[in-house]
Amino acid sequence: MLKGGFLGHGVLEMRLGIIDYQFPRGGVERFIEGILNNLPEDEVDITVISFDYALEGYRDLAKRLNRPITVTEHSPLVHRMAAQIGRETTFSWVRNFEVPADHWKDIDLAWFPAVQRHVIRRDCLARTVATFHDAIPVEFGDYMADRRDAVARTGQLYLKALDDFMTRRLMGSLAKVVVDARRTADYLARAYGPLPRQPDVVYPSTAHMREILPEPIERLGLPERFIMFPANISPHKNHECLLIALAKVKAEAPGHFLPLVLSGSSTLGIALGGDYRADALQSLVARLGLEIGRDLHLLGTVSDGQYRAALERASGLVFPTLMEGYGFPPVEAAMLGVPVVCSDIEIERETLGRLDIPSLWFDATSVDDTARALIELGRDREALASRAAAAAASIRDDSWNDVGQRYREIFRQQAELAAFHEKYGA
Amino acid sequence: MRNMAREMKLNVIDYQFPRGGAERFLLGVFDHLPEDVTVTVTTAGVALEGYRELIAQAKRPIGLAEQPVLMHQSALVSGNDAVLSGPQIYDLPAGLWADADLVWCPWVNRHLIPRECYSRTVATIHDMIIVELGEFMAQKREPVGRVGHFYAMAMEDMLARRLLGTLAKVIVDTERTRDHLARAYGPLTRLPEVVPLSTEHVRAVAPEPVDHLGLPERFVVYPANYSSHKNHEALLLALAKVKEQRPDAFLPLVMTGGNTTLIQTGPDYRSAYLKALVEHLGLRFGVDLFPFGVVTDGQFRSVLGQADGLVFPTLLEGFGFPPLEAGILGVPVALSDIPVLRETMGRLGVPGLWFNPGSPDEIAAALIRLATEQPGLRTAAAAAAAEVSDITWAEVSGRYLQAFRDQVMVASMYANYGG
Repeated sequence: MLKGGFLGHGVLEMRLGIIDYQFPRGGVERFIEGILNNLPEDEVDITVISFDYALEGYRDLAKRLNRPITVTEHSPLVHRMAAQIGRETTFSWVRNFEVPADHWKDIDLAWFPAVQRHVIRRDCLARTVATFHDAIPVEFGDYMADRRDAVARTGQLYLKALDDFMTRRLMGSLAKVVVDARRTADYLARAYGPLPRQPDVVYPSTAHMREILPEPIERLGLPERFIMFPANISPHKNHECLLIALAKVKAEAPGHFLPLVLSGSSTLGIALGGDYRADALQSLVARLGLEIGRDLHLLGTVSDGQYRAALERASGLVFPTLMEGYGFPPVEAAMLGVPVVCSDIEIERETLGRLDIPSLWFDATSVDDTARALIELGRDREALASRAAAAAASIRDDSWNDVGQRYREIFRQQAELAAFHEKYGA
Repeated sequence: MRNMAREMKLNVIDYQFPRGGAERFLLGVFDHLPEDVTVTVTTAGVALEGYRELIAQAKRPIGLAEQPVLMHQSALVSGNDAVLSGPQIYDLPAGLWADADLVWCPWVNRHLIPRECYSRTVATIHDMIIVELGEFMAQKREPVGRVGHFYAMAMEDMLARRLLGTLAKVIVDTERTRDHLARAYGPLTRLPEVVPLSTEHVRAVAPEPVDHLGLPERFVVYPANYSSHKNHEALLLALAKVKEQRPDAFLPLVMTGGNTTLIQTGPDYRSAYLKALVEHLGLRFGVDLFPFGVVTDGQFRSVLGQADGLVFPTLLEGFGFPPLEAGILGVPVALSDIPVLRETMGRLGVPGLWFNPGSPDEIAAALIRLATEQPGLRTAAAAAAAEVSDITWAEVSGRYLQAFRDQVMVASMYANYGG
């Protein structure tokens, strides 16, 4: 348990267990790294409990951290989903992890940096801080399920149901929930409220973007001028609308047409096919008459340095997403002085608004409006680039140190609450 | 649709077919539907045989269409081992609505309905026990069963949430279920309609011989499967308490219902748990406890007729037939003081000895009263039974028919103006 005081006094240790069986790469990885690097090792002892490929991710992360952490392997019970037709049974992609109570045995507090997919016992919730990045599988569950093959669809619906259920019990508990944006906090209060405790909003940092060193990108074969959309091909990223709008601009306003560069995992699938989603986008591209290698450039996953270099060369970043938990890419682009053309949704208004980032807004459910924004970007790209460069100079985002400090304070408060609950509450 | 006012092609879609009360309910509705309603049952798998038997008993022609569908099921994975677990969810294709004016899902809970088909659907929700008591029940299962239970709870919750937000017509058996749905999933665009079930058939069941069962001279009976919401634990604790503290007022317990015989041998997690509890409490099978498993309707009526009373410590029901059946036959009833039973008993004016099902002390007190106030309780029960007048199955069927016709109108309006 806690010994003495905490934070800033240097006399107290907290045993923090990080429980995570998913370890989503990308933004979440950076987020975890940013927090852990800012928890002082003389105050907080950190043990990561994970398994399988997530364990590998944490082992890699541990090597990059500027402080020691212990990474331990622990196999959870995994809940999966199967589709059956007649005697045929096929497992779907979704996995939920049932976390046993003994994970809390040798720690003061557990932190779930990406809490979804983890089934937490009720009696452990008081000693838990849970970061909830988004509720996309619940909010867009049916929409996403309808864009999957039969087997994956069962998994998507299962994910929607389980995430909804787990969020409901989490939000009704003494666990501390932390979210990345006010919009997510409001959604949770609306969907699962009235809440006994409001989620804390701790915005992630984008300060790392300016520290990333550009890497050579000649081999990527980028066109002279282009717009960029960095995203995986999950249905909520809304590639359909963007591709149709792109074809519309090419047909109706060729003078303002800019080729589209897609980076992000699984974007190569649009050329290669191979699964239901990639096949659907591949056939859409073909039907629209967009030519891969000329109108459309598919990069797949690139390194941070390559991403920065590509982004800096782009005429703009387009972001037609239907929903995000935070939405890093437009903020990252703006910090580099790249014009942003962004889906006019609540979360993007919030994340860009708090940093005074200018944007061309469009309705991402409207092909016409998306095309209108692309044309505007093509037509006014020089003026937009000047405005973006001017704005970039004044963007001041929180540092990861600031974010880490906020999490430290949340951990401290929750550890106190847990101690109080243990003494008086149960 | 052909003639909206009269002729109707009704497709009954059900891939579950829970036995017991389900058959009675379906026959009660089917047998009284007019001839201009053409009824086809669409099903497959384990439910198919049940519907074949049911159709053979029906007093009107019913078509049967075997149509396998995609099923969703959960599994527990530990290392390289995977075990399928829990109930299946049935993914209904929109094609099942193609040749029907209306679809009725008489047990809708585990059926995934395409959104575009809701306006042509009437759905009956009998209870939400799996969701309401989900965590309680999951904690009383072994890991594999627990996974399935979590899955069932989450999926039924999601399916109810989406169903209640649509133009589908939802029917429930009690006001309590309607109010729960409105509270948990509301505000609702349309409140579920309450159509109570009938107990008309109870008096028509002919008693059958039960000598072979080896009933004790005096006893109380609890007819229920061994699902954790049936709360056998509290009843067994209460029984042991009476045996120890008031042996003069002790009556053995007869348990009928699915899987109750397993409590004697304990081959699965739940029965092993109850068996261990029985042993821990010092109760003896064949002396204090008589688990009979499933009996016929006629045998149950005979058992009930010989019992000193029926005890019903359930934590939650969708309707709760057994106390009503006992009440109609003039058998004293001791039962859980929960809203749904207050509603169903109160509707028919059936008296009961009420207890808090969470309190073995209160259950024990009720058991003592059943044993010691016998002539008075039986006289009062018989007097009340003589007064009971319930809705008939013809009336239940008439209410359903009206709901079907109303929904056909909604579907027609929606097709013309709404979509």
